[in-house]
Amino acid sequence: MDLKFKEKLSYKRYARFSSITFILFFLLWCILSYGGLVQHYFLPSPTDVIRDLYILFLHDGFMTDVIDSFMRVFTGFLISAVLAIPIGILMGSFHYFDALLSPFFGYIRFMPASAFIPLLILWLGIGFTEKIAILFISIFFYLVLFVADIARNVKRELIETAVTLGANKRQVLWKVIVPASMPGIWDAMRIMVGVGWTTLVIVEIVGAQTGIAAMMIESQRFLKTGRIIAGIITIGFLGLICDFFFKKTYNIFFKWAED
Amino acid sequence: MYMEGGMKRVNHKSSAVFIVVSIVIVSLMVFSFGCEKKPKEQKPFNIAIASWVGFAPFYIADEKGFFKEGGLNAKVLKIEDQGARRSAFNSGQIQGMVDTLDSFANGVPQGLRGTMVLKIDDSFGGDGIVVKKNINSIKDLRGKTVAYTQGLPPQFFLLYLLKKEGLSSKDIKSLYMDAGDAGAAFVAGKVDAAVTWEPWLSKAKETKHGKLFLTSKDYPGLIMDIFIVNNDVVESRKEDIKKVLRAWFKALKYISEQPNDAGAIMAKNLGLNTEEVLGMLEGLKFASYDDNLNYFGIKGEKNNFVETFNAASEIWKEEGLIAKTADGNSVYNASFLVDLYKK
Repeated sequence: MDLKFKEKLSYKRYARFSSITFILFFLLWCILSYGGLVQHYFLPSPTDVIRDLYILFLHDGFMTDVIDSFMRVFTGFLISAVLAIPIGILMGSFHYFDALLSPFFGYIRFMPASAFIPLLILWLGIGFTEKIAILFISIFFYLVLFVADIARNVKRELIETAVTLGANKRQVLWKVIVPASMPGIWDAMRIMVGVGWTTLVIVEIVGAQTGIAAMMIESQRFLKTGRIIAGIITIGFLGLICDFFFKKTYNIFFKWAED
Repeated sequence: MYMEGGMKRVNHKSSAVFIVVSIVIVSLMVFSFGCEKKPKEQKPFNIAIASWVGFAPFYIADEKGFFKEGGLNAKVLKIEDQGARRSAFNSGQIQGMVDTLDSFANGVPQGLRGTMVLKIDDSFGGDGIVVKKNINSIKDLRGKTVAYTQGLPPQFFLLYLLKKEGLSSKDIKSLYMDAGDAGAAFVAGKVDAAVTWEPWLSKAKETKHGKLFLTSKDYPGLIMDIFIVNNDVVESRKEDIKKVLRAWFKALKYISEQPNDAGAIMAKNLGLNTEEVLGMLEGLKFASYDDNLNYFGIKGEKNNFVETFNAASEIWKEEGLIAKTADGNSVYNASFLVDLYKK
């Protein structure tokens, strides 16, 4: 195989290569479970998981759980993004904002969101708002620093050229920095929506009657490992859809950003 | 990356559209949050439970309308994590919650603002200790690694047994983890013993290296689930507490009269099937109304609650989990039970 730096594969070849990893992973799973190398309650077989997926969706109304979890992640992510993007752009554009917020956000970012649960319960209760707040804490601080970095890396020449051509501050911000940052921000959002999905287990530990992770926590208590794996697969699938959405829309919105 | 004139306008527009759309969606959501709170109905009585068949009668009371019949707007909420449950309880978000007697005894001195009003059930084989085959007595545990959960029935059960044999936690190597993880660690052969619960007890029994050593069935009255209410509502919502208790006993009655339908309701809410629920019910014994009166020494000769509570407090203090003990006499209120069916 002749590897060339940054060489683009055709769609077909890309699909072929990406499926190799999935197939190998699946084979390993089959060997471990069907081969009896790991007990079924540690690692259920694909057949068990497919059966559990079937039962979940057709008998247990799992679609409600999926929609509820999706709404939580979506809302938490959207609120984070709507706040993180303008704040991040300001931090990346003006050093004052950077000094004011960067070190503080950088500090908060390292605190595990689960540590805030008792405080959030006290202030926000045990309903939807508290769940969104956990998602916000896990997404916002990373995203805002991400966005700040992207805005900071907008080429100085672009800004200088705009200023030389007579652009005022507002024009530089709206016509140079914001558009030049958007492709990077879109990518950052694609990564960070994934973080939202990984946080779901701590989000749904408190007072969630429905939800993918709520089902998984309950199944863990009763050692229903097949359902846990079914939940993982569902979350992975939803994550892939989000990823696909951001990649597709990237191509539509930011075609110009391709080299 | 150089932008061409024509393209610049396009991308500017799309980012502006994105921002406008996002702002509209978020403001709609904020608006809808506001609306959610508006309908003013009867003050809710929130009850927090965990996924366990012993607490599932609350689901029956809810679905069969036993709360509503009694004129109570009760909500049954699932909060699996004990820490989160206690935070929600102490902050007044929930008015009643389930607990175990032993962890209640370490919760009160740490500021848990609850009053015990009902004994739910006795663990009857649902909790236990699994050990490697070469361990035959509590004394054999000396120097061995034991996995258990801190502050919860597994630790209490273990400390109680060690104390009886003149040992303490210093004589064993403790590994703290969730009860399920302790079971898994034992089955995987990573620890010498584990204090865990079903279904891990059965799984451990099936392994080549393990056996079931002791269960809560051997020590009746030691591990039990209880129902506590927030101290703020003990005085102010006396009638509501009675309504909860009446609905609870109605649900217990429904289980004995309609086991299949009751089993199906519980199964649905726990993500299990009916046979599994009926199997798990054998690992516990619900306390009836009369059992409760006996338990608090109203009909019987002595108050078992105060005795067990104080014994548990003593064990936690010796272990250093709490600095001072609370008095069992000051943390229960049996008057709701006594007056439950008086007109």
